Amino acid sequence: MTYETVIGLEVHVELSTASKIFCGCPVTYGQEPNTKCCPVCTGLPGALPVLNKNVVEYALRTCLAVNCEISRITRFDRKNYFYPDLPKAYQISQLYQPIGRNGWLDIEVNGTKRRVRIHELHMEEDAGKLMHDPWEDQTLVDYNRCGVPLLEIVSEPDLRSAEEALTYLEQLRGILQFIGVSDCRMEEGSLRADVNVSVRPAGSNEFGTRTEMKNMNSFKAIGRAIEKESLRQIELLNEGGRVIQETRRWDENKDASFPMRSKEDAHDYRYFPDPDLTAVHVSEDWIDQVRRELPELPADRRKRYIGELGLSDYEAQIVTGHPVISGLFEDVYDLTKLAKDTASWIMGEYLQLLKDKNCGPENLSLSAEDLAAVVSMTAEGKVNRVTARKVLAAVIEDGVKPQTYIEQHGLAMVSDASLLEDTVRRVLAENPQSIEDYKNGKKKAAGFLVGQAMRALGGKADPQLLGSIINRQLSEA
Amino acid sequence: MKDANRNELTIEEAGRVAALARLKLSDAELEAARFELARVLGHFRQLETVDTSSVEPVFNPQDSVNKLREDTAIEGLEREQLMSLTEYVKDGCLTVPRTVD
Ligand SMILES: [Zn+2]
Repeated sequence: MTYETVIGLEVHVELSTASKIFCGCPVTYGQEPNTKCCPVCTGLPGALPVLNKNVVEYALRTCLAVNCEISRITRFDRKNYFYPDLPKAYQISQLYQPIGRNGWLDIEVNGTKRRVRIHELHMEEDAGKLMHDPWEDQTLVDYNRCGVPLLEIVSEPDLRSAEEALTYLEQLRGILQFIGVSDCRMEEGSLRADVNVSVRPAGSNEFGTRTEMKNMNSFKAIGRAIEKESLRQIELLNEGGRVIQETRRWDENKDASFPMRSKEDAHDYRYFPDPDLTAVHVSEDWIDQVRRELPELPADRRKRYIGELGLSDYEAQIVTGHPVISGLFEDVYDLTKLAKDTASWIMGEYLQLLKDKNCGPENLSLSAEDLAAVVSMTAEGKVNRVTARKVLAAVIEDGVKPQTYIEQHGLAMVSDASLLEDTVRRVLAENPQSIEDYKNGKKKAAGFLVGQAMRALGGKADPQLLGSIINRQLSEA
Repeated sequence: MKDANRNELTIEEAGRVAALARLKLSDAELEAARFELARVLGHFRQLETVDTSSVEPVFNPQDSVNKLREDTAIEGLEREQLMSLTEYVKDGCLTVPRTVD
């Protein structure tokens, strides 16, 4: 029997506000434990929460970006459970009246478009961090993360493969970064997902029993976990077994998931409205204002690049993959008006530089002006691409201006036609065997001669121009 | 507890409520809790007989809405202050018994 995999994702994203959701403690990552805390976020008796206005703004922005209906009245509820990372013994979240409902995102995988519905979007507070004491049989608790604002974005079970799930996640991450609500650094846990997986016979309309893997924070692990979990369920069913609804833990090293040892049989969170917080009324004016300030979203940008600038789907996808890269593309294009060339440099040399330096786009200091200068010079034939690459490297390493570097190192391309012709003539004279080979049908010989001529010119010639001169002289020889 | 007309709370139900509240009760204490909880539920059953079909639900004792603060970070407690509330401290962290996973 063939099976279909059904996946739903609950994405948790930490908002990059200045302060926490219900108190003024700063939102920062990587601080000394328990130094960014106050009576509110550590649940000391008598402390009262007050909602951060910016959290609502960010939530509204996200609702608009993922096409959610916005609740005009939204409230907070308490989710009750005991765990050492939760000092109040309840998490302030939204169950009954979340801020957003019924949204969607369109994704495209292998040429097939699919609409992924978003069930709801709500605001909540993060919990603290638990670390195992390496020396004693106990756990250490850091409350810094308590009260950091989170959005939870819950998809409907509309995804059908690991690839679709990852595409949805990438798209969602791009949107969240573009609208500036989160840095989405998965390695720091500011974007994590709970993954629900079930399988069913192909063609069936009923859902199978699902399992959940919580708190996954790498694309690679999520993709792998979905693949392995659906295989595990299919094997189980084929052997006549049945899937049990449970939470499983993904072990990246063992490349397998394991049932969690959970003492709490069926959760009972006893949600109830939080009496310490007032309702939030969201006016049309407020929504309009947030809508006006919303930047162009990646999907709209891609459409514009393909329609107006002539980029391919793939090129448009890459240059809108991250807000910093997209901003760089915009600025370089504005300066050069060379969409294809700019895209080519960003997808080639620029991404390679990020990879070589193992850094994110926000950490590479390269101005749009300098990249634009390199792109233009190459397009205009002032330098060839190999030389231009060296120039770009020097710009980044030493902070020199591209034009200055080229002048100082005498790298401008040889455009003197008679010098090119003379050089080719000399190279041909020095390589009679290659001419012979060429005439005997070995077209590769021409390439060798281009290489020789390029070397004689110190690499400062346009390879295409050089090639055409060589071909002409060869045909005349 | 779903049956609103029932007067009794079973000992299992009382035990579950105690477990959710992380209370370890002796048999006698559990029996007493069961009795008291059943009475509390009785009061609510009495309230349920009132016709509230034309009454707006109250989520919050205050009428105010949109009590929001500006997104400004301020310093909170010194770590020493916070940690002085407990004797279970190591390396600037609170310590608790080992938690699973
Ligand atoms: Zn605080």
